[in-house]
Amino acid sequence: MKKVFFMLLSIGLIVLALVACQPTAPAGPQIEISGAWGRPSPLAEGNGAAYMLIENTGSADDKLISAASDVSEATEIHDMTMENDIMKMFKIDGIDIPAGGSVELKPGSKHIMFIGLHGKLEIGQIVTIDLEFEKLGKFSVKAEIREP
Amino acid sequence: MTNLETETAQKRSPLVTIGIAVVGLTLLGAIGIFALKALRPYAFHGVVLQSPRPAQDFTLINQYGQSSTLSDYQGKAVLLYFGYVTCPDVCPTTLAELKKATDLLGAQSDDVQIMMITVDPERDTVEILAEYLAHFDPSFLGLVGTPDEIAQIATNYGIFFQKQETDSVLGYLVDHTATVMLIDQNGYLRLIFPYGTQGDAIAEDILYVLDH
Repeated sequence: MKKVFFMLLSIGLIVLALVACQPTAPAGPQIEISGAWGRPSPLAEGNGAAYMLIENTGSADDKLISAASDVSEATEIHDMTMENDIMKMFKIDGIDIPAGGSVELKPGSKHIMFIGLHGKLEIGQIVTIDLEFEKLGKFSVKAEIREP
Repeated sequence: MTNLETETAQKRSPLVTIGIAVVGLTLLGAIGIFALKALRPYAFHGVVLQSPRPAQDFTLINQYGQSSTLSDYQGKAVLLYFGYVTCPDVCPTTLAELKKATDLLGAQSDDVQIMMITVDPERDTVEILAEYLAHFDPSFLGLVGTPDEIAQIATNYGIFFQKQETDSVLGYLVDHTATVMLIDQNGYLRLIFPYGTQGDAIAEDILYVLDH
């Protein structure tokens, strides 16, 4: 009888341990940002652009709503389209990052735009970009200035 | 001993025959591939204008404050691009690919002239163009003129551009055709490279145009 009890107890503990170790998707969004980089700027007082991969490994959508940096007067989120070889660029309010999805900011697509640089962005320089998400709040990202 | 020698000789001879056959076939194949390559027409990376037409001449002011006339560059291949300095993404990408192309051409890049005509003559002054193009290559020409002159040249080349008011702190942005045109050494418009064409592809096409 004692043997059976201990056997049941150990099986119970194993089951409990397995359940406890089960990876569970976090409730809500989970943002991961990687590969942030920026383009060297041709002009000291001109504009610049930065790019990165934003992944949402969580179970709820989130949205990038603003970007800020101290390298320029203003930092905006821009997108562009190419239709019939005509490039149109425009400011956007934000970028939706769907649950389980990702958005790549890249040349010829969505990008962070530095407007009115305080100085040239030189190769090797590291630029800090403060991103704000609707639900998860602020993320600080370091972008390396390099050739594409 | 003699028997053995004859035997090896007899055994070797079919091997030698096979060897000769293999070498022969390989040579024949190589010649065939070479002939096919030589006969096959060159496939351009850019879009070929089926009936090349003389490129309309123009005179504008370059970033060094001097006037530049397109026809002065006959004898060189001219790569013509319409862009503007405030453009942070497409224009630098294109200029960087053009720089790659001229670097790949080495000494033959002397036979090539890159020109960027600004579609933002209000903001792109001679001084700003000088600083901007120095970042890529000071031999690239940045050209400005009055808004009317630039509009006329763009129309001649089928280039669309339009100021677009935005809520960005930039004020306005300029939508524009982002292709690069190749004018050959005889002054004929020959090829159009869509946005995103890589520098090595552009270099190959330039080389072919210069040699033919």
